[in-house]
Amino acid sequence: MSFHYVLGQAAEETVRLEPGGAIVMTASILLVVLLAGFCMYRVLRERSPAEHHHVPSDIDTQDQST
Amino acid sequence: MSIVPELDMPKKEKWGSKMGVILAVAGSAVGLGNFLRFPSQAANNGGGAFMLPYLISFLVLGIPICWCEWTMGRLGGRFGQNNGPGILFALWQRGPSKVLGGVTLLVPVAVYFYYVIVEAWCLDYAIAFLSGGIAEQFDGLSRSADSAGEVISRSGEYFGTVVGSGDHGDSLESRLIWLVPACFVINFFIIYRGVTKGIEIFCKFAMPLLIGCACIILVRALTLPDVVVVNPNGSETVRSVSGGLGFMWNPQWEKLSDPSVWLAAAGQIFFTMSVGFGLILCYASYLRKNDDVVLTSLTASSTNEFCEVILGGLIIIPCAFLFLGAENAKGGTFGLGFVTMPAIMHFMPGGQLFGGMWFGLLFLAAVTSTLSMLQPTIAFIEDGFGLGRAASVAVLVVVTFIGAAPVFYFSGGLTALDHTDFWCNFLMIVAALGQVLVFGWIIGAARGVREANRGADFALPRFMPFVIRYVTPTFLIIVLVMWFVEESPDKLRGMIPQTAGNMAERGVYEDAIRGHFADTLTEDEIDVRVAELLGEKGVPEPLPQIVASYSEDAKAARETARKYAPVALGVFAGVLFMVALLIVLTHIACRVRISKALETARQVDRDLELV
Repeated sequence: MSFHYVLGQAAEETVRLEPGGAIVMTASILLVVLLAGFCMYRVLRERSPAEHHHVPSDIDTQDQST
Repeated sequence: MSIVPELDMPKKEKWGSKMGVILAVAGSAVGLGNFLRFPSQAANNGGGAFMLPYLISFLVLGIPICWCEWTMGRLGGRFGQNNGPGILFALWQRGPSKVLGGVTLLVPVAVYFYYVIVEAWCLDYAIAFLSGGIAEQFDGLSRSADSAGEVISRSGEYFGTVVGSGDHGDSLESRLIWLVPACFVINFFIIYRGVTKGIEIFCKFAMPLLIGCACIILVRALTLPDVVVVNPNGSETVRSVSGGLGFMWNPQWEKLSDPSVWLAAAGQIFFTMSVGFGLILCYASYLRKNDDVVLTSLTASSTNEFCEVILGGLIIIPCAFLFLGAENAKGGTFGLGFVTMPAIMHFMPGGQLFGGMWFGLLFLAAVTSTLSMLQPTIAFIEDGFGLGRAASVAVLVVVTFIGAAPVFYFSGGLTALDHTDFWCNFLMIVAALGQVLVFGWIIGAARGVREANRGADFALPRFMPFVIRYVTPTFLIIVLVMWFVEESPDKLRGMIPQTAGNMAERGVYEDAIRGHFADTLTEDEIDVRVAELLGEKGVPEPLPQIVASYSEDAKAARETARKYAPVALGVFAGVLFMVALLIVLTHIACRVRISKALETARQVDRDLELV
């Protein structure tokens, strides 16, 4: 495996964040933040002591004799 | 007296909390792909325009496969199965399910063979940054933009030394010789502690820490001052973070007409979400019968996307552009991560600390991922052969050591790692396709969706059965075929010494031509020039004047490629052997123990008769 890095010899052009780029970037970030925020909100909202209740089949009585 | 004296269902672990399983699955998905592969793919495939196929792939590929795998995993857990083969056999008691089960077992463990080595690289770099070892590599170099070339060159040399890419066996001379075993110890210690006390607790600590560190680095990256570059003609160009963001995000919509961009987006979604090859199947099997899978799955996926799009998309490429220029801001995953990033840290104020933090978070991301690769096999050994935790861990230590050792030793050109990765990626897509077909056509998409909706925080959309039955498999088949057609020729030729040598020789001449015309022609024009000068394939006789001076380098590359080809062939043979072995082991496990466990589970849980 080799890595090829080329240093430009010509005058470098100035790159700017264009309106299209800003819109796509902002929309992508917003979409991800909203989705993650919505999911986390729903998950955290339903956290309650009831979450740690156990159904009978989860309870190990340690009684294994036959 | 036992509650159910006539039945012998072993006591199984369960996740301690919903957040625990979300962080564990997100941790499994968040890895180097988020921070390094995504920005590289986006920058090389249309910038912001890449997000359109990426989003579509997320919606019709990533999310549906996730929901399928979570649902099947939870269902398999009710059969007392926490391993891919057992779960798939529980849902479809036919021969092909054993083949598919064997593949879901192979992929995670084979990925571990090389991922543990990459994990050790991250640890090595984190230590080197925090101890000042990296700074020593750049001794005597200024922090002005005109030293970028030399900084990158030294960074590349350092990377080669660390990973031993110069020749086979060089890795034995590096610090990795004890860092790889250290990673083994860390991973297996956590695995030995179990799902709740090991994986869940670790991920609950590691994931917030990882995201916190990345956020700190993100703030640092976005607040970096402008860099003034003096051009060879004396003019000045100002590079800014905003320009770096533009370099990464400015959309090149015309690229959307290129099928390879769509393939890259689908591939990125597929690999970043770690879906379809048994990890989620295993983790979801530790859920309870009525635990939600719909929201849990979506939350884990969105956490992964947060790390990818925001943290991955805003850090490395803008920084690389700022300090190293557009020419050096694009590269492959390892190039960006282990060559470009250390070079960036040389220029960044506080780079030693931020570099340590960056590689520390990559290390944590790697550990959370490797844990998810080990657990499916541990579960298979326990469920399929009745071994205890300690014995299962011991067996897997031996197996993974045997698998990782050749990948570690044959480090020349990273050949073994590269080829193992290739075949694992291929099998990942095969496994995902198989799972979606089982869900959509064997269980039945409508019935599967009803099962997914059991205990769900919200119901899946009504169109989801159609998507899972038709759209996702079709998309996967297209991805599989296109990906194989595009990627496999070079890999297959790389196994034959003569052909590999020819390819390497031509590659040197191609690079020389590309370098020659880099400043004057576009990429498409350069492709035309390459074809004109070298022909469509092979190397012309006599050599064109423009590349004649590279003949010695080309011959050296040819000999090296010929030397590495048997390793590539060995990897292929090894993967084939493992596939066969795991299918046999799956068959034995299904006949001996898993079938009995399924029968017992059906007696305990009468609802399972409906499945």
